Amino acid sequence: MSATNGPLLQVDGLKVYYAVRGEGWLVRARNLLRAVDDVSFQIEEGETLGLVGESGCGKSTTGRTILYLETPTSGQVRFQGQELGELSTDALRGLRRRMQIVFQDPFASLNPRMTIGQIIAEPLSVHHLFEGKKRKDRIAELLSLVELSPDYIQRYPHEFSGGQRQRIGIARAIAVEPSFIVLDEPVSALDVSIQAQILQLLDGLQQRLHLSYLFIAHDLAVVGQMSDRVAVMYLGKIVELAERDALYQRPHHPYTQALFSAVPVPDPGEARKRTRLVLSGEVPSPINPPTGCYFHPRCPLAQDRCRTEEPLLRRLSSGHQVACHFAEVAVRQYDQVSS
Amino acid sequence: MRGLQTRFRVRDTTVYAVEGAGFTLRAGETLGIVGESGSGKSVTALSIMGMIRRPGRVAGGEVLFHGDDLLKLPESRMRRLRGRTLAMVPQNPLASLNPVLTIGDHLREVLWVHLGMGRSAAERRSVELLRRVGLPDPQQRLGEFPHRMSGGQRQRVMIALAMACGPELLIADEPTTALDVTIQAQILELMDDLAQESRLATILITHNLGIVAGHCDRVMVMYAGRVVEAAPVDEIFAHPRHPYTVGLLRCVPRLTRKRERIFHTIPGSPPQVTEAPLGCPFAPRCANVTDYCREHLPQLDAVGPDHVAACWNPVDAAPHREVTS
Repeated sequence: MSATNGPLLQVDGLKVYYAVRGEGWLVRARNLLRAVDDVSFQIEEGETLGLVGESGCGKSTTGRTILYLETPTSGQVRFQGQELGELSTDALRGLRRRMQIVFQDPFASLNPRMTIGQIIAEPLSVHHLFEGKKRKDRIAELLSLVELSPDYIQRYPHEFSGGQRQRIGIARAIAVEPSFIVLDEPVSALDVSIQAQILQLLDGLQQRLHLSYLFIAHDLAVVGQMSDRVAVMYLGKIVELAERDALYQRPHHPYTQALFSAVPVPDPGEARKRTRLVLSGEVPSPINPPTGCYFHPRCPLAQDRCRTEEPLLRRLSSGHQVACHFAEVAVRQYDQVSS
Repeated sequence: MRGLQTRFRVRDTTVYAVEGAGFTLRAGETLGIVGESGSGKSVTALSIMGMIRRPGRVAGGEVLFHGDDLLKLPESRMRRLRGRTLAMVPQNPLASLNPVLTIGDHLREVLWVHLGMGRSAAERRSVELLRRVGLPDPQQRLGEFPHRMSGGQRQRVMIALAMACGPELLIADEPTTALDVTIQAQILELMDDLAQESRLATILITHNLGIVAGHCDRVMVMYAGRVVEAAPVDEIFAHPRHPYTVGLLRCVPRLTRKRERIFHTIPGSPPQVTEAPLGCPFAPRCANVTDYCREHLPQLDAVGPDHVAACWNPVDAAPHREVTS
């Protein structure tokens, strides 16, 4: 089932809106929460796209929706040339063999009553793969792929540390031989020394099994280690998307710049030298977002135009896609400050 | 603080949560305690505050505060110190705020209990405190309930509560771990300002080495309940001597200009100490391990001026050495 020409995954104008209860108890207003608001991107075969943003920006919802674990309000997800919204439930289930997910919390995402062997075997049963005698060998092979001892088959999740559980979650995801995996904050619940082990494992598996990843995380440094390209989300929208090195060397959007500036650097000398760009205020509610550019109330460069006119994602000569009216001004200022 | 030992007895096993931790902290100084989960950093904080409850107990050591041993003070005196002279900012403010009391109730209670302030004086002071921690519309906030606020706002309230009675020592236990980076930057900046303003001694507990680099004067690294290395912040980042500190610093992902596909790891995972270890607790994961390390427990020893490490085979400082002035 090899792909036709074109990207492995193509997302166009994805929107996920939720109806939420508003104020008032008698006549309840119905409000719309725009969790994901017109998001488009593509992922090539073997590529990792990083998706960063703060809590509530819609990055996890985006990840779940492109697997159709949630149905989008509108927009299209095309995987290996097939439009997911047009598939029957059965066909969609069949296609899920090719697209998997690893969740953030290794404590909540493994059934405590199932053994490790049963957990890893479940997706194989669903897809009728490696049946009969081959099943046991496959499970042993998967455990060795994630560098766990084959003796663990009979054990239960509670006997394992956070890092080991995340390995089990990864083994479950790769069991059905997917070509694409959504990694939703796969290391944010782990200690640093364990984080690096899991990142190394994911990187190795990608090369061995020719996987494509959507790597969702809030930690810019981690995303920077794992991604070929990176998209930055704010309040349900992509505000900047660029090649990894280009983004980390010259962030264009004022929000991306502020995000980079807020990351604490593990170097006392550099920490003292650094000019901090501390953002004022907090992320506004996605139920009642600001007019114009969603970032304007916190933006140091905001002008009248930003308050009224929503900026669209546009491609600059530098190759960055940026949703900001004044991206050219912002990047010039950034160059001055950082030189 | 000297030789602190805190243990938890769970059924038939004893967990040695903290074994022999110690440090000295002066007014106006910030000490960073770093370590991974289970390293004993939070238990150290709770021990200082006299908040270890059964099945845990402080088994030894002393915490001298202006010459008094806090571990020996009667509970009635500790209660007077806590919240007044010794203050704490927790990781999860929602668990520390009473959901049925307003922000104003919380502040009024602290000001009344510790300073005997009447209603109107307490209200004036509360508004002033909330303004100082950067909450907009402080007057209105007094009537608000904790669940109506964002995580960052709740942490500002916790800081206002901690600062209410002019403490001398502030212990912040992972104060920004639950917050987004842009909010984290705001909260840390606020804490720096307050500490400087009032010459506060601060203990900042964190797993984030970036936060330590930017906000602490001294650093103490803990592993398996023990202090493995301690030094001034510049020294420990420039010349880490304990293999665990070196490994930790290498593991931290950085914002490099170019993508690096090299992952520095420490093999294995941190232990839970349920028996007094024979050798060095880090030995099973250590790159510098020798047979001697597995059988002899290293004690903290000077490895440089104002720099101690508990290691038989410390990492050589020479390759990193810059010109010493």
